[in-house]
Amino acid sequence: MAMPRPMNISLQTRLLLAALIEAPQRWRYGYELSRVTGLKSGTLYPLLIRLSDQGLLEASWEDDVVPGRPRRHLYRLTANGRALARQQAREKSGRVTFGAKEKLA
Amino acid sequence: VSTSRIRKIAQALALHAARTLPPSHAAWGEAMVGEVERLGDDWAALDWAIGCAMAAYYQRTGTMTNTWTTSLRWIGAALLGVHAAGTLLVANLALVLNLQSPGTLFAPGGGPDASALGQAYPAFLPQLLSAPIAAITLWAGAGVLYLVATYRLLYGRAGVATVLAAALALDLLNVFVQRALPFTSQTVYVGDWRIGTMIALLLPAVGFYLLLLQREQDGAEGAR
Repeated sequence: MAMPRPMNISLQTRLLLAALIEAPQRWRYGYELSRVTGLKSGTLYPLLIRLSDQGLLEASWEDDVVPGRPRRHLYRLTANGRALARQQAREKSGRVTFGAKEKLA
Repeated sequence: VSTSRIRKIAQALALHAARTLPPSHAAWGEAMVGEVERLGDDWAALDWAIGCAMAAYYQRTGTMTNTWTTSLRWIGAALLGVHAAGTLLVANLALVLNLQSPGTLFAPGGGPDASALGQAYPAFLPQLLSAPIAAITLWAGAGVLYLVATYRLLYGRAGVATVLAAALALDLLNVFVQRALPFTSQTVYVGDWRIGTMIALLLPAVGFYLLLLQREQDGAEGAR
């Protein structure tokens, strides 16, 4: 699948990509990503869905099934997503605002 | 409000979000419900669920057809246009009436006694006569902003929701300013309360829809 060329990726998307690329092989759940990025669920889910639709994010369900406890949906970047996140980190590091850098730190 | 009730509201909202999502994204609805269930803090769960509902609305509007969104855009613009015209008309009428009664324009709650105007006057005229310059300015400001929002909505410009929110803020502030005035007619007060309620309920609903449209546009731009 050809990786889309993101000319104008939003700050929120960059924050999410930066959080996901920190530990690219680890599965992360929604609330964890929210705490790391500072994004609310109303912003986070549309971003996750969009990245997934673009083939940049893969989703899976938690393996450990505890009776009476719902499984969590887990996320991590695909190979294309990791490439995009690394490209963004290189290209945008000098252009993000001070506030965003604070969040990314 | 008990925490268990908060938890139930959060669960209901998450379920609503799951049902609102398009069928192609059903798994994401299940994910939202699961995440809310796993959050230990009830208020955090409610906060998360509200966001889930917003996200679900956003996804749902994204799957609407162009004809549907265009129709809604025109209806929204028509509603806003009528409200803008009405607001500006009231501002103009209040200014003209007050200029005919020198000395009352800058006196909050001033103006002639409503009873002296006679029963033939419409109920809102005493209110307009007692409107201070602050109320007139707020009317005019809100009317202009409604016009700007209408224009931007019709021509698909960004920032509709922001302009509309500013107009609504002025409009609602005006309702509070007028409620604080010493009215001479209870009829006027009741009428004002009803108008205020209409504005408080109807226009935010329009504004909420516009916000979704704007987010849809922003999302499309961000994905490029």
